[in-house]
Amino acid sequence: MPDSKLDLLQGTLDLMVLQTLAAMGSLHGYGVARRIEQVSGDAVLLNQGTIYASLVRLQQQGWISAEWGTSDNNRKAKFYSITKRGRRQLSEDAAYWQRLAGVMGRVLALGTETNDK
Amino acid sequence: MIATLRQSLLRFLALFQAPSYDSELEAEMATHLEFAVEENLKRGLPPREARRQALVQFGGPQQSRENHREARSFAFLDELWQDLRYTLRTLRKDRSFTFIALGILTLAIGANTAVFSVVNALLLRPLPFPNSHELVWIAPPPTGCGLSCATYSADGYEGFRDQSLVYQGVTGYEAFSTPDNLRLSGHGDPLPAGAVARLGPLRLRVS
Repeated sequence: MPDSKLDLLQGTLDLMVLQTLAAMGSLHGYGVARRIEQVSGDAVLLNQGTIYASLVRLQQQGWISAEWGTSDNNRKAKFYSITKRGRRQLSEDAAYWQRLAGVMGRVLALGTETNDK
Repeated sequence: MIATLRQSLLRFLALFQAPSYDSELEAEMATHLEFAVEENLKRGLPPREARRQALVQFGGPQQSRENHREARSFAFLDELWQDLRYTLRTLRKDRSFTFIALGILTLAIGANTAVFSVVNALLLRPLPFPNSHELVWIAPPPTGCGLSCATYSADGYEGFRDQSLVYQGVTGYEAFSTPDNLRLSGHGDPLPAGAVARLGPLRLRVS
């Protein structure tokens, strides 16, 4: 495990939640949190409790919907799933992040290139 | 645009649905911990440790509640609303205090309004004349008997009116009595009495 975990940038958790729900279908809060932890290889600093703020925000934006249901082990839990508008938002946000990441990568590589010359 | 409006509306409505939002969150957090403990037990942790780790992974529940409140609503309005309800509850509990406070407020506001109306009419609001800031009140030097003695004789008035170069116009008023209320006293033969009962209107030169 790395020494320090990544602090999540503003807005990244919402996008992670959207992507997780898009990929996994219907999940409860714990499932979403665990899934993000697993995918990130436990590299992000995630207090699982913060997932609920993200979920309620996404729900109010109409990007996900929620429904009480019963889990595999017979517990009552609130299950979240992505909506059509949520998918549209997800593709927009994902494209934005990929562009930003690309630009950041190129900008940060700038120094090493000039040093090489 | 419509999504933003919708979200704002929901966030506003959330102010008044705090109990239902809160109880749902509590239920979710309880289930969350149960799931986590269960998974930790499956990993072979002893029950105490399973619970402890679940709580650590979750982070502070109070922080989680606050994050939730901030995300779903307008935090400062939410606090304002809470304060307001708390105030009303407290006031309802302590009736006598409420009545006394209300009484004091009523009296204070009433007195203030009354005094201000007078001050406003007498001091603050300009007199209803054009160039009212050029109006002056000609008064003699103060004497022992206050305003009752701050008067001029009819001759004095006419002197001001006809000879003054300083004023554009001079007029006067009879403050003490009606025109026919003249009292002549003393000794000797009666003489015709002149009184300035009604003075002419003030005519100003318009420059």
